Amino acid sequence: MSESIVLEIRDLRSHFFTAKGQVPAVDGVSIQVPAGKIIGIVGESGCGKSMTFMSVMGLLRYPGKVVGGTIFLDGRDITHLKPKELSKVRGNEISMIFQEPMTSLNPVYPVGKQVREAILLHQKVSKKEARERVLDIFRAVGISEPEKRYYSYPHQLSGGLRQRVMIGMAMVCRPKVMIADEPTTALDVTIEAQILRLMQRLCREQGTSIILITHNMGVVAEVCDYVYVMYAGKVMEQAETFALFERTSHPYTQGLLRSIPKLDEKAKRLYTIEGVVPNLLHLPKGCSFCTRCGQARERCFSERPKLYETEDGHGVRCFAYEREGVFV
Amino acid sequence: MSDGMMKDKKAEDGGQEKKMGEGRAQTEKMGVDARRVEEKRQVLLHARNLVKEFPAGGTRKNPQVVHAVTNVNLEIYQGETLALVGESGCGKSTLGRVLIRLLEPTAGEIHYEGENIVGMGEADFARLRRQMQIIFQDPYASLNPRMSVKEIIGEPLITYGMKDKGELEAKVRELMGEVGIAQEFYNRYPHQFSGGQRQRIGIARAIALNPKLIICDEPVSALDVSIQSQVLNLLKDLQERYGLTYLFISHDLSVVKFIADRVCVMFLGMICEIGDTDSLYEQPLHPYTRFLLNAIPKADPKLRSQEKELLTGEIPSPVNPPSGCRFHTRCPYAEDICRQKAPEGRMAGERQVFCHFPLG
Amino acid sequence: MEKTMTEDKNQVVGSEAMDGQRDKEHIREDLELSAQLGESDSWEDKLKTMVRQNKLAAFSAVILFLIFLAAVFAPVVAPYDHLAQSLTDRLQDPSAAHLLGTDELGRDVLSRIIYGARISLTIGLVPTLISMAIGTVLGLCAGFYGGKVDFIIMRLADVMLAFPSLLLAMVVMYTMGGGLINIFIALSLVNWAGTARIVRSQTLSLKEKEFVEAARSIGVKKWTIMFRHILPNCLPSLIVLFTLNIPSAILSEASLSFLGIGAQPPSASWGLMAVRGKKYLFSEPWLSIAPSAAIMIVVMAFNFLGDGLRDVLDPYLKEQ
Repeated sequence: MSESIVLEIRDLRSHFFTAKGQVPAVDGVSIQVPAGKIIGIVGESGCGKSMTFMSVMGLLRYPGKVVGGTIFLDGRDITHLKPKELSKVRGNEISMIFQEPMTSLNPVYPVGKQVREAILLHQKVSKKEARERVLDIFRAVGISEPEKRYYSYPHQLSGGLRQRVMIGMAMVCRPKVMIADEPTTALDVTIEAQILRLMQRLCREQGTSIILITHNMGVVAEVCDYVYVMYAGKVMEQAETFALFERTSHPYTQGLLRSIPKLDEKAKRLYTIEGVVPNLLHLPKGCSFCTRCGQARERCFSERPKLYETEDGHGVRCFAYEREGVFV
Repeated sequence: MSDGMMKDKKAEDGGQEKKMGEGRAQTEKMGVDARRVEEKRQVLLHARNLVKEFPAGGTRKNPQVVHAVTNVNLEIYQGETLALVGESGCGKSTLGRVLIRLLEPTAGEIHYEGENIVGMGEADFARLRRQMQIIFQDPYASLNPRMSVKEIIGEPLITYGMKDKGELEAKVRELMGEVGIAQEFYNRYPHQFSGGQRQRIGIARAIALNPKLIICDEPVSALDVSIQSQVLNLLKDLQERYGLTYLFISHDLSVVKFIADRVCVMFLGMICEIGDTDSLYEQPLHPYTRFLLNAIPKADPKLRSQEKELLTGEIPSPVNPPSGCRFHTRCPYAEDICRQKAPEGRMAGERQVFCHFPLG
Repeated sequence: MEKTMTEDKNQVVGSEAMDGQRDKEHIREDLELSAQLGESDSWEDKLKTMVRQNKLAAFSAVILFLIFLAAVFAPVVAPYDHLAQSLTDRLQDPSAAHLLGTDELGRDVLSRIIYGARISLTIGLVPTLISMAIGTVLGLCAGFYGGKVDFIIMRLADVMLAFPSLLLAMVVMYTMGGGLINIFIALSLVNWAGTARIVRSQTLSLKEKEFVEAARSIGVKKWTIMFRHILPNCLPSLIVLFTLNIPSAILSEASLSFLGIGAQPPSASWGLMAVRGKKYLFSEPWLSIAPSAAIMIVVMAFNFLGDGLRDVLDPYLKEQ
């Protein structure tokens, strides 16, 4: 890849230390985020997609712990930063928004002031200037009547507006990377479409890279440039969006795409991936998907596949693609 | 007495199965659609001018109400799946609960098999209650964490008089098999199951009494994609096997497309449009329906380039809904009449649309 | 004012806000993770978690267990009979023969304290159980039925809470006279209101839960819903409340006995011992200190245990 990489995660491992044993929630994940792109991280609940970025943000807490790997932000290793240094990076160079904006906003302060404080915290500007900046941001994220909304309390705003405020707050210091963890899952479809369009515009206009964590293949297809599909703590397939949907390679991704009901066809039954996500404490010895995979062979049960590159930038963690050589 | 009832019920079921068995050969010949059309003739539930309002504070002089459901007229036909779609706050869940009297309507009538169930005494209604069940959205909240699977699925059976331990266990195990929960989980507690399995347990509880109508309140929206398809297939199978009627409440239009025979689109407590699924998706008549369909993220990046028209603005408050057509504040085609007068239902073939200027 | 607000805000907006968020996300992820692991949050597991995470609570549990054993097997454990007087040995300093010395009638203080544990633990357990049973039923009814029932029960509870409970207990004791049974009655009658409040608020939120709605849609009877669906889900809070109510009952008994209207001599109540030792506070301080220390240890142990239990059984209670 020729673009400059703003965020690089190399072989990240985060484990949970539970009473029943060590759980590899994130198991050797490598992700590259080029400047000004939208990267999709897609997977089902418990696949480690949120955990990966909690680890990146240093937000993982006991019993979870990062046990290996390195994280580079703009070429700088931030893996071993002290909490204080990390909190300077957080919100300034890299920021994160979550599924339910209500819990991230303080209910007793007007939203405008909360965003203003975020500016004052990271930058040396007067309160008045900061307020102007907030209003600019509110306009930029499509909040109508910003002067009035400045003094609104979180509960007075709808879910869509709250998410806009959160995005505004995350964008306030023009971070290089914004991590959005299921930002539209709690929203209605018409509002979801608005927010997705907003994120696309911010990415284009401000050059911020966006990492979009989602379970919705539709959202991925709609806005992402590059996609990582995760399963049981590992990246199963990664590719440019068009390639992923046109030449879907991993049996898991294939199953996932086939099990979504389509708008343009009337199926009698839906395709299903049999079984449930395996217990992370007792993962199969071989490929973590082997127990649910229709194409699994003997080898899949005993040996772990590596990520194989099938074409430029398209990696698949499946023995069926072994001949094409090892990726990364 | 209760034993007798159970026996009667069984005999009935036997009869039903037989009928279905006989019908099957025919059905295969005629195709599923033909059978559906035939069944559609019979109205199972019929709502007339249904209104549900909730108090929303305000002062004593000037009390405020949430207009959750306003003047809804709706028929549900025997054996069909009617989907209720709309965004949050459109009153679809409230409507579903009102229809089976989990909430009492503020005004209006609900006719179930010809009987008005609004205002019916509790004792009278008890015999109908078992025919209407509900499946909930949140598989974590809908099962009592302190009851085991056998107790959860057994509860409706015990409530309706099944006393014999052996019979109860046999029936619970049969239901578990029906929804695909392994027998060895008989004594387990909900927290030991995944979301999808919990939803299956909820379904088993709902079908335990052989109901006719099941309200499915967003039954798959809390589930992962791969699990979602399993549960949807299960719902379809059960419908076929027991001749169930579903009211399927959902905000996910792709899921609705798969499961529903007819769709009813709601906005802010009022119906926008009712029609059979295929033609409604192909050619929406209400502007709101079209915007909804446009807004769904499609799992195909090639469709991305098509510049789509998006709905602007937010959903108005149900406490002070807009005058006239409630959609007019967001509708690009709104004219004066839309602000003044609520549209009457117009028939367009089999379909009904509530709009002054329907599309197409 | 402005300054403190800004400081608060800085924290809120900065990484602290994310910390808060992190907790929420953690609860979500933990749920997912534990569901996926098939990890059960059974009682044993929760207790194991407590033992692992909260050493103080575990230690308190051990102490309480030992005290309980000592109380049950007092005749075996105690070196002397707690009522045996020996005027020749009166007011002895602690020694190898009498580890905590003897009192003004020559009774062995250690033995009396061991026997006193019987009284204190009974006083802690029995009236608390009775008052909580009353409070639970009233709270359930208030929360479930609402309306007038709720109004009457809760106003009654407000009145109870408005009176200092010790004062109320004193009134009861004065009218009925001293003695253990009357202490039971007095403490049972005054302490139900707090339980009723907590159970009511839990009932209010539980009755909106979907599993209750499901039971209603099946047509389950109201009493069955209350006692099968709602009550078992209040249990964790009730257990926590129980451990936290015990020490206050013990303290009340000690206070009543100290005031002379509780346990009557010659019974070895710790409160009574403390007040009798008062006379010799400067010459033989152990006579007061030993029973007071016993009260303190038991009360603190129950409180630590209660806090520990709350953290594992009822994490949301803490959050609220």
